[in-house]
Formats: sequence, structure tokens, C-alpha cells
Amino acid sequence: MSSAVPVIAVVGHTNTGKTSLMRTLLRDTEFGEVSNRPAVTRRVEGANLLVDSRPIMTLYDTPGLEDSIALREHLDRIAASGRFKDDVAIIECFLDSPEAAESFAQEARAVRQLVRCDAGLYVIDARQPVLAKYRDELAILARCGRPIIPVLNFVASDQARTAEWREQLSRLNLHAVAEFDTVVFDEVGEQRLFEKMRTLLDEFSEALNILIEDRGRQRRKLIEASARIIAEMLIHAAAAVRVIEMRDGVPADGELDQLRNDIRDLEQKCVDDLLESHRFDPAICDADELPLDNGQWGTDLFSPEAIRQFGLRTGGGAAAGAMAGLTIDLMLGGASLGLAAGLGAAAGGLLGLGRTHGRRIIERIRGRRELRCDDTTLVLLARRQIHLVRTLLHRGHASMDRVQLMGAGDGSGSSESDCASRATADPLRVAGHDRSGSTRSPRLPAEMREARLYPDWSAVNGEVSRWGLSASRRRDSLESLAEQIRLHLEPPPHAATDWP
Amino acid sequence: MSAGHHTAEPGAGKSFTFQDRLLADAVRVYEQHSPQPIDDSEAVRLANVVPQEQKGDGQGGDFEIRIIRRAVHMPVAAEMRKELRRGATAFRIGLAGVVSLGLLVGAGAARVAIEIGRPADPGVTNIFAMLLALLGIQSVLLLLWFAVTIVRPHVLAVGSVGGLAAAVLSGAARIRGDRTADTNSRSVRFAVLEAVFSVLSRRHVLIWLTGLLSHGFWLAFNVGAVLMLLILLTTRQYTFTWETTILSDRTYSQMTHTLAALPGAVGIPTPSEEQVAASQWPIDPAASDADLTRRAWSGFLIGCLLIYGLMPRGLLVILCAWRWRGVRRAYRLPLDEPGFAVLQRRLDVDHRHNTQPGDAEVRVSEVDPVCSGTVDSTLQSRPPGDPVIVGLELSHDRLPALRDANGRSWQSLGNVDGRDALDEAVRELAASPSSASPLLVVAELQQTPDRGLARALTELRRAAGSNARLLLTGGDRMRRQGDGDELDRRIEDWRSVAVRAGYAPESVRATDLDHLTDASQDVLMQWLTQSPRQTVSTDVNPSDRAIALPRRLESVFDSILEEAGTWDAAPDVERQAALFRKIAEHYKTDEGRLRDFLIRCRIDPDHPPSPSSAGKWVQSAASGICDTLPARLRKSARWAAAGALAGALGGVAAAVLIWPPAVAAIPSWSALGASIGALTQLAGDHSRGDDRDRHGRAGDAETDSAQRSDLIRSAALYAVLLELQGRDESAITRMLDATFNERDPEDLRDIPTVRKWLEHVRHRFDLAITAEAGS
Repeated sequence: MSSAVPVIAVVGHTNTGKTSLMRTLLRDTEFGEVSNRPAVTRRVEGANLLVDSRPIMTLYDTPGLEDSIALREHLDRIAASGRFKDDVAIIECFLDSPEAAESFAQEARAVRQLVRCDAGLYVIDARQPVLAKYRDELAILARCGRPIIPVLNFVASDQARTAEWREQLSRLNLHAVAEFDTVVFDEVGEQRLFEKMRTLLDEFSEALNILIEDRGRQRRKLIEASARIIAEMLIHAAAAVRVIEMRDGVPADGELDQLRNDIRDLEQKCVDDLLESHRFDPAICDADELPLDNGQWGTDLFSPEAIRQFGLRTGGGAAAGAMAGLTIDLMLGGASLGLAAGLGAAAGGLLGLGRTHGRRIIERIRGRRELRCDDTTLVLLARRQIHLVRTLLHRGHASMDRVQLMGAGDGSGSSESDCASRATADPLRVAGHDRSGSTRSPRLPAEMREARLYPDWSAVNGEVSRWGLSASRRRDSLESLAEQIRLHLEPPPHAATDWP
Repeated sequence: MSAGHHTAEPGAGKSFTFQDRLLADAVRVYEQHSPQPIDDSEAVRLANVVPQEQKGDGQGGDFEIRIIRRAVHMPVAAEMRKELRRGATAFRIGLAGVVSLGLLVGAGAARVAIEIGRPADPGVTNIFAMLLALLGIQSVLLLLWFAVTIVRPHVLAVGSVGGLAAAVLSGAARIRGDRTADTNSRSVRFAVLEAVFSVLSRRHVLIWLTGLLSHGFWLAFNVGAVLMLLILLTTRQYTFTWETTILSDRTYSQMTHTLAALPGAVGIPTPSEEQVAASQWPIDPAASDADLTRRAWSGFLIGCLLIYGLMPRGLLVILCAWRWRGVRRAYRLPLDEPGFAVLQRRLDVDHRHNTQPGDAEVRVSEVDPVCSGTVDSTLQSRPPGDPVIVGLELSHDRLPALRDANGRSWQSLGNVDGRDALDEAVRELAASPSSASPLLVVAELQQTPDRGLARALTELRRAAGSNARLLLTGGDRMRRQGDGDELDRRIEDWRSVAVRAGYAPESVRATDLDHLTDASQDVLMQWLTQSPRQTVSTDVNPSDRAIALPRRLESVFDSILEEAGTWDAAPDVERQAALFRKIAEHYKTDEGRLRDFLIRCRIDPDHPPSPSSAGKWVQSAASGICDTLPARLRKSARWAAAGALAGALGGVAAAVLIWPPAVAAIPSWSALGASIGALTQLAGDHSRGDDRDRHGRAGDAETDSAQRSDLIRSAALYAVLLELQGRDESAITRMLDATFNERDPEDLRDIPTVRKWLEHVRHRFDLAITAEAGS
């Protein structure tokens, strides 16, 4: 690997998202300070993009340019005052002048840093019109003698004036323009950005190639890991079962709550793990806002509402009502006996399996029942997690919004505001989705149906079996489930279909 | 495998061993099964202290090394190492057991095989039967091994050998584990076992490991057999013979010749043609060279065992041992395992660094040299002239056509963007004959107030005299771009910039010119005609025209209660619409509020909906009100639904009252009704009309109640919204925030609950009004 590492300055008008760009490129939600106010960043701060822990690019965040109109006038005055070899000499003269430490201190920081770097990324808030001050800024930066790549931020916003900006920038002779939304992440956009840098910074093309390749690899790994996290949770949830005593034909309340809490804990852990692996602070999915923590919310996992929002129709009255998503699984006695027998024959009567099923038969004789999560809830769990990952995959690390688990299968969560508020702000779509999806009853994938038969696959029921035939089947199921989920994580959110 | 104790800096300066990776895997398993998260702060800290010379290796790069380093520093690591060492010892004992078993079985087999001859004649050995016994089975098994390993490798992974080994070992582990009273060391042991098994059960690992064991066994078997044969042949005398019923003599002669070729090649004595022929049963006892024949056959026997039994097994043991070693060395942690992936963030390499160490923070001077706060006294004394309006860096050139109280229109200087435009505007302002014109600067809230804008504000104010005001527009667009929550702060930022530029705090105001309502236009004109100083002296907030309007909230709430009392089940769309129409009718006398409400819904009050645009119309109404809600409510699904419903139903109700003929032309809700029906479904209804009988009773009551609660919530929201119209939009959002609470009871099941809740809402509304008037 060559030791040459490009050094890039991130410059731009105040509050256009320079620090946001740093955060998103660095996958670091805590870099610098981001706020929708002017002049939040007051100093130059650097960071490295790493590949295998080795720096491959150095980025410098700079304070925003604010008074470019006056600065341009000032530079013109300097230019008029003496004879200068070229534009860079004018800039150097300005940086030595007392104004650079006083009225234009903030601008001088940025300009000085740009002069020290190999190239500059000029961040543009594409929602803004092309104002004279931006043109002045570009004129000033052009004098620094460094290649400038304009980066259009907030291009995912419906108010973005991308075409207008591109037109104006090409008039200013800036043709290598990158579109990269720091809040709504787009991996292709990021790749293009690096490719544009590669075009302008020929001597660093090797480093940039490594970087581009690594980013692609990391993302594939991330998707695989996410799929595994979800699959693991789903297997735990599908296999979760509580053996309960019936009172007058209905289970005691505490038992339902217990199972409900177990499932919620599983989901909570899954959400935390997903956020951690995507390098987001788990706090952005606030425990307070997590519907799972507090049953009074309409987005309660078990409420008929939440289920309906995902375009599912609960199987019958019992599921829609007080049982709230849970139903007694009466698949006992005969059915499991037959299964135990069938599997037992195939497996040569493996001890563990025979034992669990034997216990179930005894439970049945004693008048106990098994309580488990119903299919609809499991499907809801799966869709929520898949939706969450799809949201995270398109979430820039500069995004300050909270993430919510709720949200419809329409996948509108890629917008900069969180998916929930979009989903409700666009109620007709959700409702329409509901009506169209209502006739379809969810069908669990075979792996999860199989998980139902193995209580020892779920940590909820005690220790997960780790060896023997049951464990190896669990491993196989987990892998093929993860593979299916992975395929559903990859398409862009708007093209995604519901799973399963 | 290093079994030594790792001290202060494990792994520093050397690469990690297979055992270290097993340890990291075991820690992962342990954490996954641990009920509570384990405190790893110290381990993470130590893992992130990278020695400078440490280099990443392999695909996983440094992340894997960090994981391992973290694992060896975890509190459970010591116990796990002990467990791993125990496992390694057990493995060695097992290997030794297999080898000794092989030796014993081999020796036994040789002992038995040499007796295979003619039972009646001890000391006579059937040479080919013996060879078959000693070499036959193992050759078949060897071929099988080749077939399984090389031809269809995956058979082995799920096949019997690995499974059997795992089952036997795990059974032993379970028995041992169950005896341990301490649950922690039990789970440590289980974690280690699971990690080991998960690694060993990988196909390419399993092949070489089982190969090592099985070939080891057969190698020992052959060694045992050869040793036993040597002992027997040394100490006893055997007569070697062969016999056959169906095969010809030639066959045996040829077979011997073929088998003997390899041993013969390495110099082992083998029987000649004559000797083979002479050895056929019955043997002639008087043969002259019986001794030589015996020795030749002994050599042949031992040679065959060595060449066809011991040698291939020995080579394969070496191959398997070498591959097993390679597999262990090449083993890398499965970094996409969830348990590892979640560590990414915690084990991040510190990539930040500060440059320019001498760089202190840039101090942005609070008082810009250009912008002094004092008002130029000479300008102040000039007589008032034509009012002037100027845009500052607007995204479009449209400026509102304003007229002052005397009907004079405001003179527009256009949009100022850039140095030249600013200079020109300043020149025109200064050249204006009557100078000191009231100046209204219009700026957009989407713009971040920066020093450049502050400079322009200052220059404009100076040119115009003291009577300059700043109007901030575009609040709705800012909300739509998702920054609604920042609106108040943005207004404050602008205000402070304006104050620094010499504007009085009261002369800054936010009014959305994109959605200028009659009410807000009145308020705006009132504000423009008052001088800033007057504004300060009066106690009444001029912006609150709404205060002057009669208050109807109480009567509206009464009719909500009344209407709710008449519902026996969940009200259908007709009844819902009736409720909203009833609410709207309370405000019929001041139509301005209804019109304002529509504007709030982003609906043009002068253009009634057409049947074709009905869906869009309802959607706009719903999302308009949703956006007005404070963030806290917007994020609550219940309140977002109530907002959408209030917007849709309320918008229709308001529209019906404003344009009765136009709306009547839309055939009885058919178009709007469908859209609203979809909305109400979102808000909690799913048992409408005919559906109802098919659902269970309990579920029905539940959803009915949820739907009613949603309807009452949205009705109350609608009433409060109507009551608040005419105020600043940020004020409306603020007051909604104070009036409604997302923690209010979810289920408004019966009339007393509803009454109590409405009472609370009204009380909080009063408090909000008071707070707003005070501010």
C-alpha cells in the first residue's frame, strides 16, 4: 500500500452540513458538533478514514464561511493594491494580513486549511437557491489553487434544487459535482464522491481505490451481520413457549404478560444490536419511544393497530381482541406426538428431542397448555426489524432524528424525517396499504415454523441447545433464514416487498 | 498451542493463536447467553490501546485483533483459559486413548488372525485369510474415507462421525456440567464447549480432525499388528499355507507376485514361485527348504502390513496433522456473527485528531465593527416617507403587494442578492426624497442568519433610518423540509442577528407570506403601522387578534360530549362528519378562522375541491395539520392519527361551511368519503358496519372504544385549532404543545372519562393562553 494519503478540507457556507459530511463519511455519530445554527464549528478538526485501521484519507472539518461578499471585496482590494504573481499569492497575502485574524478570522481558518490540503469538498445545501454569496465563496476558493469538488447535500429533500445548482456550477467551470446527502445515506452517492476525488487527485488513485473497495466490502458484511441478528431473534421468538395452567379455559394474565415481555426483550436486544453494528448510538431508538416498553402506545407490538399497519389481518377474533396478538397454540398431543415419532425415527431417537416431546405429552396429560407467539406477531417482528435495517442502511451518520420501529411496509423511512412521522403524515398510503394487504394472511417461512417445534432453540425457554442434531438443525435453519432476510435487506426501500 | 499463562500484554508483538481465537469465540457465546450485559469497559479500553508496531493481519484486519484483545482482557477470560487448557488436555488424553486402543486392537487382531488356518492343526496359518483379516477391513474403510472426503465432502459434515463425536463428548460434558453447582462456571464451560464445537464442526476443520483421529487409530492398529506379528513370529513357529476350492493355483501365484512386488522392491524377502506352489495345502512336510519358505512368507506378511497398512495411514496422519495445523493457523473469527458485529462501534479505532494544536477557537466578535447598535440620530428625525419593502436573499422574486393604512402601496425595491444589488438598494433608500421611509426587510427562515446577512441588514437599516423591520417568512417550507422543530430557535437566531444590526427586538416578526391568511394579514398590517416603541409600551400583544374574538371552546366541548353520548357503537363516517360539522358551525360567524384553518391545511380557501382532486385534497389537509403538531405529539402515533383525522374531517367541515354549493356538488362524500374512510381506518377503526357481526364480541368492544377515543381526541384537537386560528403559527404549535399531552389516557371509554379529559384539556388551554400572553 502506498503511503500517500490524500488530505481533504471540507469547506462551505455556514450551516450547510460540513460536520455532517464528516460524520457520515467517518460513520461516527459523535464527531464534532452538529446543529441547525450558524457557526457551530469554530475550529479546524481532522479525522482519518481508516481501512483495516490504517488511515487512507484525512479529512479536515473547517468553520463555515459567512461573510464571503465582504471577503471577496477585501480580496479584490488586496489584488488592486499591488502586483501579485497569481491568485494564490493574493490569498497568501490575505492570510498574513491583520484582517485574517480579526473580522475574517473564521473565513481565514477555512481558507488556510484548504491551502494546506490536497483538495477541497465544497458542501452545498441544495435546498438553498444559488445566491450571490455562494458564487462569491466559490470564487474565493477557486483562488486557493486547489481542486474543488462541490458536494450537494440534502439532495434527497423534495426541495432540493439540484438541477439549478448543477447548471450554475458548470457555468463556474466546476463539472465534477457530487451528490451526497449526509442525512439520507446513499452508498452509490458515496462511491461516486470518492470516484470524483480519484479523478481530480490522480496521485492518490490507489488509496481511493482501496477505500472504495473497502466501503463496498464493509457494507456487504454489515448486511450479512444484520440478517444474522434478525434471524437469531426470530428463531428465539418463534421457539419461545410457555407452559401454563389454564384457569376456566383461559390462561392467567400474568402468563401472557410474561411471554409478551420476553418477546419484547428479544426485540429490544435485537434493535440495540442492530444499531450497534450499524455504528449508531442505541440511544437514538429511545427506550421511551419504543412501543415495546410501554403498552399504552398505539404502536404496541401486540395491538391490533400495529399489526394492521403492516398490512396484516389477524387470523380471527381472538387474536384481534383481548388476547392481543397471542393465541393459544393447541398444537399438542397428537400432532407433536406424531412429529416426535416421525423425527425420532429419522434421527434414530435422539435423546434430547425425545425428552422435550415426552415432557410436552406429560404436560398435556396434566391439563397444561403451551402459550406462544402467534404467526402474525412473528411476521410483524420480522418486518419491523427488516424495516429498521433498511432505514439504517439509508441513514447518514449525521442524522439527528430518532429512529422508530413503527412504520409501514411502504418503506418510506428513507426520508430524513423518521419513518413514523412520514407514515402518519402520509396516511392514505398506509391506509391503502392496509386495505390491499388485508386479504393476505401471513405465512411463516419454513425455518420459523420448524423453530416452533423445538423449544430448546429459544433462550426464552432456558438454555439453547448447543449440540446434537437439534443444534445442527438450528444452525442450518438460522443460516437459511438469515440468507432469506439478507435478500430482503438489499433492495432499496421503495422497491422492497414485504417479507415473508 | 500455547498453554502458558498470558500476562500483562497478551498478544502484544505476536500474532494470536488458535486458542486465543477460541477464547474470543467463547467470550462471544458467553455474552450471548448471559442474562445481563457484562461490564467490558476496562477490556474495551485495553483493547483499544494499540501498540504502534502492531499490524493488522488478514481479511478481518485490526478489528479481529481488537476483539481478541478485548476477549483476553474480559473478566471471564482466565476461567475460560483454564477450561480451554482442560479441553486441550482432554483432547490429548483422547488421542492417547485412541492410539493405545489402536495398538491393543491391532495386536489382538494379529494374534487372532495368525491362528486362522486349519483349526485342527495349530501352528498352521492360512496366509491369505490372515491378510484379508488384517488389511481388508481397513482398506475398505480407507477407500470409504477417500470417497467421503474427496468426492462428497459435505456428507461428512452432517454425517455420523462428527455428530457421533459431538454427541459423545457433549453427553460427557453435560454429565460433568450438571454436577457443577456454580452456575457461572457452568455457563463458562458451556460457552467454551459451544465455541469449540462451532469451530470444529466447520466442514474443513472436521475433515482433518476426524481424519487425524481415524488414521491415528489405524496407524496404531497397524503398528500393534506388526509388533505382535514380530513377537509371534520370533517366538513361535508357524507353517504358512493357502488353499482354495474354486480359484485356480495360478491366481494365488499371481496375487502373491503382485502383492510382493512393492515389499520386494524395498528389499523385504518374498516367496518365489516355487515356494508359493509348495505352500499349497496339504504341505509336503518333507520339503527341503521349509525354513526358507517360512521366512519368505513372514517377510511377505510383514511387508504387506507395512506397505499397504502402516505406510498409507502414516502418510495420511502426517497429512491430516499438517492440514489441521494449517486450519488452526488460518482460522479467523467469524466477524459477521452478531455477537462480534455489535462490537464494531465500541472497538472503533480512534480516527479523530486535532490539527493545528495552537489553534484556539475562533472568537467571532459579538459586535461586528460595521453593525453598531446605535441609531443614527440625524436619520431618525427625518419625516416619514413612502414605505419601502425589500427582499433579502429570497429564493424567489415574489414580494407581497402590501398597502398601508392610507391605501398607499408599498414601494418594492426587489430582491437583494449580492454586493451590487445591495449597493443599489442602499443608494435608492438613501436617495429617497423623504428619507426615513418605513422599511420592511423580508428574509427567509430557511436561510441561516450569518454575518453576511447581518451586514446587509445593517446597511439597509442605516440607509432607511431607524424605522426598519424584519419580516421572516417561509416557516411552512422549513417545516416541510423537516426542520419544523428548529423554527423557534431559528427565529431567535435571526432576532439576535437583527438586534446586533440595530433593529429593535419587537421589529422582528415571523409570518408566513406563502400562506397569508386574512387574520395574519390584518395582524401584519397592524404591526407595520405601529412604531416599535409603541409596541413595547402597549400591554396587549397586537398579534393576538384571536383574543378579541369570542371564545367558543366551552360550547364546542359541550357539543362533543353531547354527540359522544349518542353513540352506541363506533360512529360511522357520516356521524363522524356530523360531529365535525357541528364543531365548525360554532365558528361559522367568524369565517376567518375557518378560512385560516384551510390555509393551515395548505388548501387554497378560494378554490373548492373538485371530485377528481378529492383524494389529494384530503391528504393535503391531513398532512398540513400533522405538520402543525409539535414534534412530541407528531411522534405519538395516536396523536398523529388524531391530527390527520382533524385535518381531513375538519377541512371538509370547514369547506362545506365556506362553499356550501360547491361541496354539495360533490356527490355525497363519495369521493371524499372514500379517502376519509381510509383515514379513519388508520385511526383505529376496522369494524365498520357489516363487518361487525362477524367479529368476536370482546375484540369488537375494544376496537370500538379505540375508535371512539381517536375520534374524540381529533374533535378536541380540531376545536382547539379553530380556537387558536389568527395567531402566529409558532404560537399555535407552542400552545398545542402545552394543551395536549401524549400521556393522556388512551382509552376514553365512557362519557365521564371524556368529560374529565375535556375538562383537563380546557384547563391546560387556559394555562397556555395565559403563558402566551405573559411572554
